[in-house]
Amino acid sequence: MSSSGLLLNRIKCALTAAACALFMICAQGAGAQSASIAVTKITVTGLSRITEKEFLYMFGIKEGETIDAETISKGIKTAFLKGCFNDIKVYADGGIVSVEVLERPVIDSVVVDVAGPLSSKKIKAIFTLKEDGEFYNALIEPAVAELKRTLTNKGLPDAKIKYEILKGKKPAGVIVALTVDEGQPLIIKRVVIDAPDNHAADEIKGILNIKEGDAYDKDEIDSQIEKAKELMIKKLLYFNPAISGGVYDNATGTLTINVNPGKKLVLTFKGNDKLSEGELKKEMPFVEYGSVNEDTIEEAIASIETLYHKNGFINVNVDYEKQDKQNEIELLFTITEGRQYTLSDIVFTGTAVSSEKLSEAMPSKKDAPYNPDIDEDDETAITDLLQNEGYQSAAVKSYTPQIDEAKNSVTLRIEIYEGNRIIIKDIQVEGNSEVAAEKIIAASDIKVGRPYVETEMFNARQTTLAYLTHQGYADADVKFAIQGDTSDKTLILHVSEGKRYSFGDTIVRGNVRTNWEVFRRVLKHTKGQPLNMALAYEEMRELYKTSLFTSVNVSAVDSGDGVKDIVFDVSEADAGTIDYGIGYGDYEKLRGFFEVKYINLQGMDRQIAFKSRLSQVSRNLSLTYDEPWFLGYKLPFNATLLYERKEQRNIDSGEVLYRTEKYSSSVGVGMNFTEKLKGVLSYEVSFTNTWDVQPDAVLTTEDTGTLVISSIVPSLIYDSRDNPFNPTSGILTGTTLKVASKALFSQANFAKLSGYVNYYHGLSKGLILAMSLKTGVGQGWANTVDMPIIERFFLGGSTTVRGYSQDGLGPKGSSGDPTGGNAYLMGSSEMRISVIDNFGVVTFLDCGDVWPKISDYSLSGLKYTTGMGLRYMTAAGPIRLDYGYKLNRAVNEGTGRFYFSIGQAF
Amino acid sequence: MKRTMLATALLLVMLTSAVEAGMIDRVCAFVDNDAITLSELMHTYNKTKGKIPNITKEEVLNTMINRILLKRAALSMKIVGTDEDKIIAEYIDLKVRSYVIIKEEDVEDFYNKHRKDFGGATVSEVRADIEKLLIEQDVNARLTALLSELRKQAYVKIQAE
Repeated sequence: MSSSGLLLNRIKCALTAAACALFMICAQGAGAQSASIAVTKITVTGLSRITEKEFLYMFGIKEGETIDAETISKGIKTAFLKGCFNDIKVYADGGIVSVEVLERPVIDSVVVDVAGPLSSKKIKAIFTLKEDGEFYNALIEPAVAELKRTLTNKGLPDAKIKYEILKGKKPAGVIVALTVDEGQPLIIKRVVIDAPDNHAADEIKGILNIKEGDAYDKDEIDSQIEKAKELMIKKLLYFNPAISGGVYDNATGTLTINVNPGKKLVLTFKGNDKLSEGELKKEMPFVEYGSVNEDTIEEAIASIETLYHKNGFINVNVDYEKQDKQNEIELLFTITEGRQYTLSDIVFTGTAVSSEKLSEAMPSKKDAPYNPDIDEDDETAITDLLQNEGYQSAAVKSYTPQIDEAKNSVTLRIEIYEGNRIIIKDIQVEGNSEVAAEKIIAASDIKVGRPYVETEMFNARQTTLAYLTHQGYADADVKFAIQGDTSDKTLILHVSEGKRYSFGDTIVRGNVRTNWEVFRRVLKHTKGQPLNMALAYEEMRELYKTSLFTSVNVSAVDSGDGVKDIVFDVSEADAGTIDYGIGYGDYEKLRGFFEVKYINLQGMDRQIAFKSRLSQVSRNLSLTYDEPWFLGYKLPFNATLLYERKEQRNIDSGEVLYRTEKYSSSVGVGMNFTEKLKGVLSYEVSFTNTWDVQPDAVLTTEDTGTLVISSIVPSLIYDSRDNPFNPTSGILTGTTLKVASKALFSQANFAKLSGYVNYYHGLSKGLILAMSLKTGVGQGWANTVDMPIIERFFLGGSTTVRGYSQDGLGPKGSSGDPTGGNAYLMGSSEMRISVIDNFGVVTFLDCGDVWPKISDYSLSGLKYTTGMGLRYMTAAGPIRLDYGYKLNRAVNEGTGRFYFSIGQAF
Repeated sequence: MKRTMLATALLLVMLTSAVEAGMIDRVCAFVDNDAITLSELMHTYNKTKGKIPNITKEEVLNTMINRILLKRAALSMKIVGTDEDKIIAEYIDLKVRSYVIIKEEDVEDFYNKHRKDFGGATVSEVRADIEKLLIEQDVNARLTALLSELRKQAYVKIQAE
């Protein structure tokens, strides 16, 4: 070997060694082989952040299984992906496997001891390490340096920060204790605006919100400068202002801001009769470019001409005159609009495709202003349409506008070359080895005999790929090609299946409070099943639906041998919420509510809520508990304790019809048959004391005094509404049966069946038809003839038949007080019209009646009302003002009434 | 540099001696949430030693860490594939090799500095070899810098107790 070769080889050897150290080693494979272990028992120590159940699920080793070193190594690696361990050690003693984990520390709390103008809360908000975040030593120094930088920017350059890492309350917890001596803040003693003249300086000072005496906060000043720039353009009409600086002099406390506002741009348009100045100004490019020169003026003229062309002024002409003055640039555009032309007709030749279909596809529209700038768009639309019909060689041969000066109209004459129509006569699959050709063809959904259309092929490729991906072929590819000499072609699907993947383990990261069981319930995929990411995304959506998380992301991690582990990264939402509010209604007057809710009890997605609702006629306190999985099954369970005190009043006279005080409790189990259909079976017991009942309203002995009602209540609800607060489409329908019997230790015996259908349909944008039909019948037996007053049906009021007072419709006693009845029927129809922004108008027609007995039920005597209302949409639903007018009122009866409340009537 | 190598070697001595009685496996190093187990290290070390006899456990472990960093960076750039080596190589081509440019004066400078080692061969005779060499030198320098940057962005720990 020559000496030059020796030198080069020597250096190459050194480089190879260096490269090896960097990345060039044998690909990593399975761990060392060792004797297998028949596992009789597994113990895990050191866990505090997750449950043993979750750990063992990830670790993937069960008692009774035989494992080897490779299984253990894989288990360690999978569990480690959880992100909460620093080490996992595995020991074996015979068949007993012991796992010892060392958890990664978590920040229990950040404690700030501060001296200076910024509060500890503010410091915690700035500090990048947060409670519940993971902690390791390498994080603390950069976080402290970042805090120091932020404090310096906020005018605290002398801030001194000390930190200490203390042991937290939780086993793997740490407390980050910060001591911050902020030092003396820099104060702005003087603001100097360095501008070309005093007028400009005063203008800028007026829009900058920086005062002498303020602390020098560089971030805030930078933000102020940006806002000021925007205001100078929009309000003061400078088109290219420059503001720089914000330079603070430590010695004098002077803040200097350099401003060069440039010139103001005065735009004037002359001759624009058909288009407004505002419309034209929107097209001007000068602010965007920051200059007024020949190029930008040419662009402005082109934009004006385009706008006029769009409106049919095909001969528009624009001239300009520019005057450059000391402080402003005056730019005058003189427009000669010319005549406005309409597209009167479009004539096609050379195609069998209908003119209507072709015209429909074109951007140019008959009887609309003729726009000469969209000829290419028209041609593209025609070609696309014809290609979608199977004419792959189709083209527009000529596109000729014929102008009729007398009629100010244009006729478009379009000559088309169609070419042959390609029809698929056969479909073949090539390259597949594991998936049957029939299945691939079926997945593509392409039919023999159909024309060959590029867009359909694109969609077919996507569906075929989706099918293969769902079968676990994550790297699959499909290419479509056509073969054949005539117009009848064979479609070839070239398939590359690639490796077939399967689901491996599932790891959830980021769950601090939420128990592993909540995730396990949602997971539908199983280990070993063909990898189908669509299923994993479906699981992600299910997790979102629990409302426990603000974000959920899913990813697949290659774990070798064609297996992919699924990793869910979640961010938990606040589990506790407090809601409160006040409102006003015409019947209840002033009302308010207060609600405390915790949505993730024991980390199991269980919800407990205390609600209090008060108004001038009722008091309502309730404690509810919701369990989405009852006895391990997906059966929503609910238990409620309720206290309610209510006065039923005559809204006009204020006279009390009756008073009640009710203690009740209920338990119920639901079942979601489909996403929209659910059923609930409840048991309810109530103790109700009724007093001060108007004598003429008393129908039975059970109408006064204490009454125990024990009942079973099955119900069925179908809900396809798009928005429960303000629906614009869909149906809400349901039926409920309430059976109270002595067999259930009830003092009253009755059965009550209610049903309703609400229908919502958008007729056009901002116009919704809403219809509602409700009915109910009840019947007592044994010693109960009429249902007790608290169970009887009443109508009248803001959510039933508007025009009548609250409960004022139906049978009445000898003194005219409503008695309620055992049967009712009501219907409503509304036209909901959106007027502007959040305001809307409603017109409605209501009808209904209440009858003492089921046998009295009749459609002939229904009372009808009509009226109008105003709506103002809010996040909590619309604020509502309605007036109902009685159409077939009785003699001496009022004509109607106003209602004011929140929420739609139905 | 020597001190770092000594410290790492010491860690590894401690690590391998830290295999307690009855212990089958443990995490010997990690990059964020990606663990390298002791059994993996030993397996890779034994396999690599057959091809590069002088390689140390420390080098193998660092290399395994580097591969995790590079693969992760490649995947974040949406470089996909079934073969890990190809993914990493493609990433290095994209992020390192594509930036390497060897100028004529670099070749001549190298030739002039090592003229006596070339035994009278002219620059045009050894240009191709020198170019290859300089490219590899630059790639390695850039790769070292890139890995150093990737390490800074990750939580990398070699376990020692």
